[in-house]
Amino acid sequence: MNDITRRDFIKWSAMAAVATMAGCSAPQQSAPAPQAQPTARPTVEAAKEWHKSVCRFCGTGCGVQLGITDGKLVALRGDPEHPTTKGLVCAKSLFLPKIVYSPDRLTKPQIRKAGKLVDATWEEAMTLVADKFTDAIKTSGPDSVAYYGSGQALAEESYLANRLFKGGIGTNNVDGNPRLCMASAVGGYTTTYGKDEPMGSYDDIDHARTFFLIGSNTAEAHPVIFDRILDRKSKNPNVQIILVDPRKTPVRRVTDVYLDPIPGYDLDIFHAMAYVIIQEKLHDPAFIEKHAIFRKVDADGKNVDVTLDEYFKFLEAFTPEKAAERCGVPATKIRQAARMFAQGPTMSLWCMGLNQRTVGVFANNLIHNLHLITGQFGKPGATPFSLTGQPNACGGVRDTGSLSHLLPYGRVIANADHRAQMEKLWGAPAGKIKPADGLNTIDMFKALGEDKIKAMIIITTNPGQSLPNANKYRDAMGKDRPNKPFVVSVDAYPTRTTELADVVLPAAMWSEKEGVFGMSERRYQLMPKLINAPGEGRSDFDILLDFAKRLEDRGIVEKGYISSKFKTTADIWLEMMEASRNTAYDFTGMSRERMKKERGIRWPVLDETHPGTNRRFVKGDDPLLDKGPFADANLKPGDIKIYTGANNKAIVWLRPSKDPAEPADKDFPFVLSTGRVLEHWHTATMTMKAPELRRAQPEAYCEVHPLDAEKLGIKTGDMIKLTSRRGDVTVRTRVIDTTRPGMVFVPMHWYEDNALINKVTIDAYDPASRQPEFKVCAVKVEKGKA
Amino acid sequence: MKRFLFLSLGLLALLALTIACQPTKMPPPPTPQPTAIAVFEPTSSFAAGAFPPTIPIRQWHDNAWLITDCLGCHGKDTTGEAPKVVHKDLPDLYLNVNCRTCHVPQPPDQ
Repeated sequence: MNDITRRDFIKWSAMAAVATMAGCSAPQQSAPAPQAQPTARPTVEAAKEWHKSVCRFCGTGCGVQLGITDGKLVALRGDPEHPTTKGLVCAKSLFLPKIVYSPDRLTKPQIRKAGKLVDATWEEAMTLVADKFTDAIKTSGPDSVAYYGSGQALAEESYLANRLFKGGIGTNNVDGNPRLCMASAVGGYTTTYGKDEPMGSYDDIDHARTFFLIGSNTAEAHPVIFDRILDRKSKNPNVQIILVDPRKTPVRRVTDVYLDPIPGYDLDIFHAMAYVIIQEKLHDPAFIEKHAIFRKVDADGKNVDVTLDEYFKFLEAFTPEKAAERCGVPATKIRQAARMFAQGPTMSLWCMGLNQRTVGVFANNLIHNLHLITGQFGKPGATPFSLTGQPNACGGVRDTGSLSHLLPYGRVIANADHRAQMEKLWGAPAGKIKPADGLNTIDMFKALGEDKIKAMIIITTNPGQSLPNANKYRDAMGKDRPNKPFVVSVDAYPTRTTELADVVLPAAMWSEKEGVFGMSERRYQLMPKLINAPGEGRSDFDILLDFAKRLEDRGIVEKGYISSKFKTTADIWLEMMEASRNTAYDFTGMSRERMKKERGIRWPVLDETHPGTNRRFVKGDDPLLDKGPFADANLKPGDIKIYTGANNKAIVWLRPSKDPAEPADKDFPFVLSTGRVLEHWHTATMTMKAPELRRAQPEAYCEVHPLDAEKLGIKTGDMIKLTSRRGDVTVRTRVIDTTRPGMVFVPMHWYEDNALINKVTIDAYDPASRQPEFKVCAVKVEKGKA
Repeated sequence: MKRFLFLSLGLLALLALTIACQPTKMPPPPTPQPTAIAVFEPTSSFAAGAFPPTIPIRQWHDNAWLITDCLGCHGKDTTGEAPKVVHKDLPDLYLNVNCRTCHVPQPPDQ
């Protein structure tokens, strides 16, 4: 700032002197507009102390440092010592200090009376919550209640809720918004390798030669990962990027080969790439022999193992030319991508474009197929890596088993031994955990709408905006009717869900509580409590403890099942470590004390001295190959053993290519796809609180291809109405050739009635993962009114 | 008398010229464009420099995603008037990243 003043003063002084000498005045209006000059990013000296922590937005898990002065968060900066994000951090994170102190934070419990939410005491609110759940369970059984959680809750909070509902109340109706974003990735890893979660890590970015990005707007949804890819490419000109995405996202700028399939038809591309790889003998027979088997599902629904030759025979239906006919991508580009992929080392990164589909699991399987047939696996830079949208979808929900078909650390409801193990650890009576899966997200909210679910608690998420076919499920939550189910929403802000709830409980958020976030590369990071929640806000953990105690007092949950065991998140962490022992997720070497010192640790980690695992299944790196039930002394360093797989092998699946649930048709001739912008996150209840982020992207919009705009007679700035079979929105047009003709794109963040795009999206889901198809539905487009 | 009148007129003209030759008003120190520097809210207790400089939306920044070479104007060694990138205390990695990662665009009236 001083530089600017001094330099401009000199400039102005010189001009004044010249003017005087010339005998004329220097009218102010003729002066050149002052230009901002080089400025250093000022050090944030006002912070008296700095603490390491972790960002709370996407699954990248950026390490941050928080500046605290007199108990107040005054600044945030990237943590240069963080091993994977290296000081990088995005705008959403940088504005967290403003977001946290937003004046509309919820500060008092509220109870709906005569249709309006009114302030209440915690005692009144929690008594009502416990009474309503007790009534429902006593009159309609344990399966009449449900928990809907989040990949934003702490790992300890999700684990506690899972423990309470499955082992305490006796219902598996535990699900959460990771079902909307991650379930197909879980299904992909599990069906291919036997267990969930990536085997590689962000370290692979520094070794990959080929990046295969599929359905991932990495530049906006995971900007720090994108920055690391950019850095890798800028320093290594031979690094190449393949992008598969029907929309030309900002990633397209740095792409070497761009494949833009018709939305919903990318499976043909992946099969065609596999065809080219085998046809041109670019596959790795030795790797396949050691580590892969081929499997199809026959007409009777039975799994049948087949040979590599039979697999190739199957792929003949997907030659690049045949694939091109269905997906709209030229065969030459498919061949080019296949050759690049096989060259490697290849790191695949994908996100919602692959997962939010009715063929999401199949699509995930086909990416794994490419890695397995080429041996692009278990070597530096060679790995299939699913990106995650929430900070704790991996560690908090997937790993703790807080979905309706899972139990902690790779266990599943359907397995009697797994149920027995958890009942023993939890101290629940034998048989308390039911053998049938609970309701997944969509079915859970359907059951709420049919009044089969009588009471539901929703924590740290906003289904009133984030569910597809939102009108239907907003009615389920909030429409007044006789015997309407009882809905509790725990949140830090007013949302499109709190407005529907019967009780709203004010939550402490990020940095106002202590707990663990587990991000995409299996790294668990401890977030410290550094500031206090405003007003009467409490952590979700404390709310769940209170709730559990009241259910114990009412005889719904066995006395002391929760209340005698845990007071803090650190208490329950000890049990979580124990639950992971001798599983493929073993993190028994990750004590709380160690986590306070280190910047996250990647499991498996069996003792306090192990540094954490960069690559799973690789001897010399993965400690589970040295010790415990998966140990193998016959392996040499660098050898691979997929110890969670079928006979220690991964499965190459022969999956059919299927159409999306609702392709465009005569009545609804456009395909709608939804996605994100960099400055906002999910339902934007947080990011809209920072004025700069709001101003950067203040209004919903729809991208329309210029050819379509011409036909429709619309131009940039016009309001257009998008209508599907479920609902409509009216938003402003951006005419831009990012989409294919016949496709429109609307970001998912805006919550105003006219812009809430999930009123339009479809709730059809993948039968394997139960994840809805946000990415493809049919709409009609017409000029709208402002 | 004539000489006196000439002299007087001459003096008056000289005085007028002298006055005219003075700058009517010293221009005020320029005010930096608020959107081009670190946002500081004096009414808050956030630390100065806690938030990254924003990108003023001007003709050349209309779609910052399309700008692939921010350092062409903002690089340390460039000579134009654009603010030069100085990432004090941040790793060099920051010079290879997408500027929009941290710097958000702002409409002209902000």
